[in-house]
Amino acid sequence: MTATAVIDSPDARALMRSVGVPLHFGPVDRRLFGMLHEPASGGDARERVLLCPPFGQEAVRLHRFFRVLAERLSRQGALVLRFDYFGTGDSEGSDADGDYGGWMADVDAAQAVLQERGPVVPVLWAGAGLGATIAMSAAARVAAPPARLVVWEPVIDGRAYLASLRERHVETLEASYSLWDPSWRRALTRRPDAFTAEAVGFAVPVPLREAIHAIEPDGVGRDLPCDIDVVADPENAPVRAWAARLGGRVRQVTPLANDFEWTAEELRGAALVPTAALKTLLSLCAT
Amino acid sequence: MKPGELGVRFGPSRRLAGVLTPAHGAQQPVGCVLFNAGVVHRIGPHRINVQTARALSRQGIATLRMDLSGIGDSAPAQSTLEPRAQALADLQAGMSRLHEVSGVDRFVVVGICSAAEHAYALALEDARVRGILMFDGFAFPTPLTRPICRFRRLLRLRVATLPRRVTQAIMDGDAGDAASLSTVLVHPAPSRDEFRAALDQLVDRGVAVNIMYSGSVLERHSYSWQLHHAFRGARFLDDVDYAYLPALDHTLVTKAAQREFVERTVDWAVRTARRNGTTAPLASASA
Repeated sequence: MTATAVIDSPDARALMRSVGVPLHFGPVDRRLFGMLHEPASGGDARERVLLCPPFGQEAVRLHRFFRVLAERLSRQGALVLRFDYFGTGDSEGSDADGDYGGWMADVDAAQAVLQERGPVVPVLWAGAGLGATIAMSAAARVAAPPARLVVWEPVIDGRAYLASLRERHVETLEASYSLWDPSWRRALTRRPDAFTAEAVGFAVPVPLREAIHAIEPDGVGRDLPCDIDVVADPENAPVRAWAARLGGRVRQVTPLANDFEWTAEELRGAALVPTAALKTLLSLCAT
Repeated sequence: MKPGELGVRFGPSRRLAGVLTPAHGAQQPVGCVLFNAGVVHRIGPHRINVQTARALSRQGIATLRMDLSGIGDSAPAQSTLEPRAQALADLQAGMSRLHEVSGVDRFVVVGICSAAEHAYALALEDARVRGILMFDGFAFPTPLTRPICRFRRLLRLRVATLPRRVTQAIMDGDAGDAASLSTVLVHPAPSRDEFRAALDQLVDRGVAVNIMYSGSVLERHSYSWQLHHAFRGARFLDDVDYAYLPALDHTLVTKAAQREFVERTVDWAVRTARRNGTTAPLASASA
């Protein structure tokens, strides 16, 4: 099999520009999957946008959101790359291979794809959840950092995030099985080591867990080489306080009500692509 | 080096998206198609389609995991087909694409939840389908189903919350008679007679049928041998794989459930491949 998909008709080219062309990139032993959305007009890109997905079930839940966001940005003249970190989505590897440092390198590899393509126009990174945190960590280390970052509900307190994942894991088990097991909740309360190795369907290997555990508000975004826009729920006081402490690098903090469950297994009437979130991210990602 | 996966666009105007996983080593004479469970994109719930595809690859079975029209990364269809017919057309396009790349012309189709209903309909319509796996597809309660469901729920009650939980356990058992376990699609489920006739037809054609029920559908399927009670004396019962798996849940949240699902699926698919003759020559794979 060859490494790239064949595009062989004008209609197909037009469609691909809108809905994305699948591609594989990265080192041979760390092949990553991505979807590249070219400017729908067929002209040169006005900007380049890299979308960094969140972790685990959150990435599954937000897949459609990121696809629609990418399509809309492409219609506004952007070159957009969505991708999966190693061991996630359609990328090579298993979820047991997940590691924070490797995912930072994956952001760098994805950035290289964008840099290889299109004219020299600003590159913006947008990340959600843990993806926002990974993007901030990577931006401080890569040779060619983005011109700007958009971070939506970044994880700034790793311990709190891991605790929320444990809680959500047990809630998911209780919702999913017809016969819930009371020992699940007892273990959640009484045994700190229970439900730490996996979270809502995805493995959380020890190195990844330790890396997330080490995420603290004072460390996140400390060495940012670019300006950031923060998107957070009005009631997310920790993130708002963190953004205030970052000071001048933060262009603005945009309130966005968190009105859907990021780890939901089923929609249960919720919108697959929340309109307010789409409008907010679109406006912040467009230059 | 093992052959890598390949993201592809295919179908009319290349509107459909998927990822091909080539067979590793000697190729089996059947390929496998995996697709969406509800609105989850092609990776499947908790990436189960990715895990399954790679495990099948190691056993010589090439796979395509794909998005149906309008789901995941596939563009909406431009045809006027009703949803079921469109889904079948998409799956047929997927089988044709997998044939072009791998050379196989016989297929097994794995369906979870709503996908099980599509797999069933596809097998009845397309002779290339040599096996279908239906996980939490159509269910057929017997007079014992609800009493057993209620009894098993009562066994789980804690004394302190007994009155409320007794009521809940009893109420939860009254979930209606619809045979479809899917909450996503509204296609009419087959009657018992229709299902019996269809399964007889499929096994007569030599189609390998695997029917599995998880521990998330207790109201509709609550004990081993329920299928045999629901279709007492039916001819197809001797020829299908059937299992009630209460340790698994509907979306395979735990890693243990994922492992068991993959193992069972691979075992069944390999047995099906062996029933379908000699190993196919490796195709000169190019996308």
